[in-house]
Amino acid sequence: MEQEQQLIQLLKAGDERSFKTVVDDYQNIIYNTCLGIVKNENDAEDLAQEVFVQVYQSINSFKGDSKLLTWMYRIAISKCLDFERKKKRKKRFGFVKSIFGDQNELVIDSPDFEHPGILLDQKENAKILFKTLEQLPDNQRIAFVLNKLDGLSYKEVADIMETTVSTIESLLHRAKKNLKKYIEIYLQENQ
Amino acid sequence: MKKFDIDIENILNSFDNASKTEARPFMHTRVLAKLQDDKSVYSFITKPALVYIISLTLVVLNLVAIYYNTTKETEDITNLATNSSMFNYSDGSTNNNFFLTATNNNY
Repeated sequence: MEQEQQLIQLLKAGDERSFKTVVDDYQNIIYNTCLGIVKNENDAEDLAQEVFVQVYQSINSFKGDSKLLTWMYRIAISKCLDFERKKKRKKRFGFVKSIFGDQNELVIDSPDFEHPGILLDQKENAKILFKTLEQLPDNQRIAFVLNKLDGLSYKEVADIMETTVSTIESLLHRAKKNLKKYIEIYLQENQ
Repeated sequence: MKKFDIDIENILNSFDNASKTEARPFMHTRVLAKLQDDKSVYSFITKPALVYIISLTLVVLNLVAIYYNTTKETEDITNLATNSSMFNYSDGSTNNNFFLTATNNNY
């Protein structure tokens, strides 16, 4: 903890070496979280870079009331959700433009996402789970991804989402219940 | 438990034991490049000289607008006062007498 305080002080002082340490230590964690949310390796890579850019630029506004990594998780999640919203808006706008005969290309949904870290025998199941996850509300989806894919504890998820452990339990319970329903519909439609 | 339910459970648990994937190497270098890009885009906005000039211009424009509005208002009030004085006399006579007075003066 003291070591982290020291690292934060150095970051605030603009120490380049400390910043490199932060990027090297946390890049995979942040990249994996982004990948779990946006489901595209290039986008996740870009977003992870943006997270570190923001860490560098706004470290002075970090008050230290949470762990540095928790703060970085929050930045990553907010950037990923922003990215998804923009993508959706672009898609909708592209569709409207295409109706009016503009030459702009439509933003097409990427095909089923294959997470590179999923075990081979689970790939097909994970594809379905990723597809149905899209239908969940943001808070349920984020809680599920952080807990199930990133392997974070309820306490850690609660800290990141700035809520209580019992709220996370309830969010995950609802997420699973909804997912069961969506998976059932998906399986019935694709049988 | 039916096979259908087992399938659903398997799908729900398909993230279990997923391994962490690695980001492409040299992320630090790419982040630094991005930071440099960001700086070059916004650097001209954050130059103190430019900030002072923009602020000063805004202040001057505001002052000009305030001065212009005040002068116009004063002019309007003066015009109004002048116009109404043509029809109002200190002895209490009204504008009906204006033409009479003018006619009497001519003769």
